[in-house]
Amino acid sequence: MSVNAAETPQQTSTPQKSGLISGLPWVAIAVALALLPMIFTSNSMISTLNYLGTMAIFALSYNVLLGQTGLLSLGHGTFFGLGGFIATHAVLHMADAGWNFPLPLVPLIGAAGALVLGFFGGWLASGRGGMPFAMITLGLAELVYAAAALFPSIYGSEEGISMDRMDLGASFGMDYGPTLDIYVIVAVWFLICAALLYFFSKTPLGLLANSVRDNAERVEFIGFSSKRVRMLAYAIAAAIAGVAGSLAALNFEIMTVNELGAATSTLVLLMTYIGGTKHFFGPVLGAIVIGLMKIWLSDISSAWMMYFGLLFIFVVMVQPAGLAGILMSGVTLMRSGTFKMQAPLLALIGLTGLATLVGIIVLTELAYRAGLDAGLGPQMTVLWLPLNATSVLSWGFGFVLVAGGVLTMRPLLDRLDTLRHSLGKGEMA
Amino acid sequence: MTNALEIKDLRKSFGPVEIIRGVNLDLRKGERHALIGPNGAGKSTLFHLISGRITPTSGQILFDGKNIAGHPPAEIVRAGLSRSFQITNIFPQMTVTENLRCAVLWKLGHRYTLLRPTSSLKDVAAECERLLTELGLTHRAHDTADSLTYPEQRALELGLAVASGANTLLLDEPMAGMSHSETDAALQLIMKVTEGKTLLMVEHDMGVIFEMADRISVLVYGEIIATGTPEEIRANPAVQEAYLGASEEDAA
Repeated sequence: MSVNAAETPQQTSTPQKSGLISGLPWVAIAVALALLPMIFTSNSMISTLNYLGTMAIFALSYNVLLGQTGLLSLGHGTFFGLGGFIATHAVLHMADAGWNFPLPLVPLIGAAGALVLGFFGGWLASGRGGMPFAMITLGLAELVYAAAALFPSIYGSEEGISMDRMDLGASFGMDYGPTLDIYVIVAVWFLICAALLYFFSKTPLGLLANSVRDNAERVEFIGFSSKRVRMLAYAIAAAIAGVAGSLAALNFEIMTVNELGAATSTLVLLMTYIGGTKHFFGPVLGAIVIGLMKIWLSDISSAWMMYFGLLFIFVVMVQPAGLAGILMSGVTLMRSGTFKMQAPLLALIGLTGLATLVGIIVLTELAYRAGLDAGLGPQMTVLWLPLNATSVLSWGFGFVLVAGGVLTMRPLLDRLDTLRHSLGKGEMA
Repeated sequence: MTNALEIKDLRKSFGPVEIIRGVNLDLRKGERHALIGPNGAGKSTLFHLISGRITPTSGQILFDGKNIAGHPPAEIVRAGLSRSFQITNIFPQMTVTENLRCAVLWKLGHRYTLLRPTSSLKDVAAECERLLTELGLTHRAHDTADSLTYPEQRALELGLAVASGANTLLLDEPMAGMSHSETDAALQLIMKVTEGKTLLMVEHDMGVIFEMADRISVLVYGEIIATGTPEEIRANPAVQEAYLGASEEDAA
């Protein structure tokens, strides 16, 4: 899916493309979604895909606020969680009543509930943007989280509320026992939500959301209310987050109050930002990368949270356009025709970057082994390298890689700058 | 003679300090009215009061006979009174076309719609096309606003005010920071796009003012000390003492 991100036009609209060409990336995404379960056939792989798809929808919904309207919400997890709880209770009640409601449509209920709550929350939070908005959304999220403890019948106690997705019976030729059935639901909802949000970004309201992001005060002087735009964006983002939460509920068949807590809100912020807020599919990329880190890296290394933080800092400091920004500049480079001339330098820079990365990993793993995991003994293997947490040699190796990588990268970056400068001049002449 | 705008005994205090001290001002329909005055006289504050950015302490602002004092800016724009800003106030990350699209949406009745893509709205496209031509920005239509040159940004700033379809425009130093040749071009542009509209404009360049204004009002320390034709203002001893002498020194 990451390839598709590069093909999609940027949000700040490039000149209009014809309908046929702009439809191509969507067909490619649909084909990719259909092929994925044929490549990754194991149950756990499909379960991972379900999680990634759910998070991708969640991150896309968050970017309506962060990227398109310029609003930093610190409580978006609330609507993910509430959507999930609404969906869970909907399934439980409808199963009790003996209704044969089609399971794939349950996210509609979660979305509707989140939409209503989103309007209410938006009405409270949208008076101003910036800091007041962030603080109010944080406060509302904490309020909901705290209130959850008061209603164990709704939110369950510590073990949460569980349900059986097969209780609603079969529909559309599926009985929803196998994970693959859930994959079909997630994939279709991903296409629907992505298409809806992409469409939204092209409507007058989407345009006004961008104008609120750019200059909320001026919006008032061209006849619109910034507050109204924020509130509508907030409600729309909430509804789509409700879809994501419902899908999570169907996938895991359990919802706990943690799903609507601060950790969920933080996770979606990181996914969206790391993926890139300026490109429509950036958040999808972020959801995939962070989601995989969460699932796979946490199996391999107890330091996975550390890498997570390092990646976030790297993006904030070096590449604010996010992973999508890196991809896009790569595409621009390929098209510029000067790639061949830059390639040797870029390869060298890549090597120094790789050395630095390996060094950081070595040091991080050594530090964890020396500290938190000291009980496992000093001997360890990191990236096929035999290391010892008590050996000066191992630590020195890590330091040399990091220092050497960083020190050689600097002059190389300068030379790349000079090269690009002269290439730019050549183009103009 | 009907008035587009009537300001009656308008006052604004910030804490104990009264900045606007009983302003009375009439704007006749279709006239080009210049507002001049030394720095700190309250010209921008007066604009903020009329356009709804800040709320007056007391007094009335009658626009087409209705009191708009203290109304929110969006409501005032919808009623037909829009403004430009002294410091360029556009949508920097959006393209020039997108800037103008936002500004024409309300008057064309599209409001907050999310049922159709903006690009399919033919009336929006036609109106933006017309505005781009009028502003001389057609060749920059797909560039982001922050990549424009300063005069181009000022033209877009003016364009946003005009695009809202208002029949009365408040322009706050539209030529501030421009060179002589740029000022001439900007003045011609303003005369062109505001044709048939009522105009109230703050400006420091006396040459510009005497060339374009039907009437001039002089604001000094929060009060209008004189209103009249350029000839009357030039001949007014109080104005000469309070303002014109000082400004020539400023300009020197």
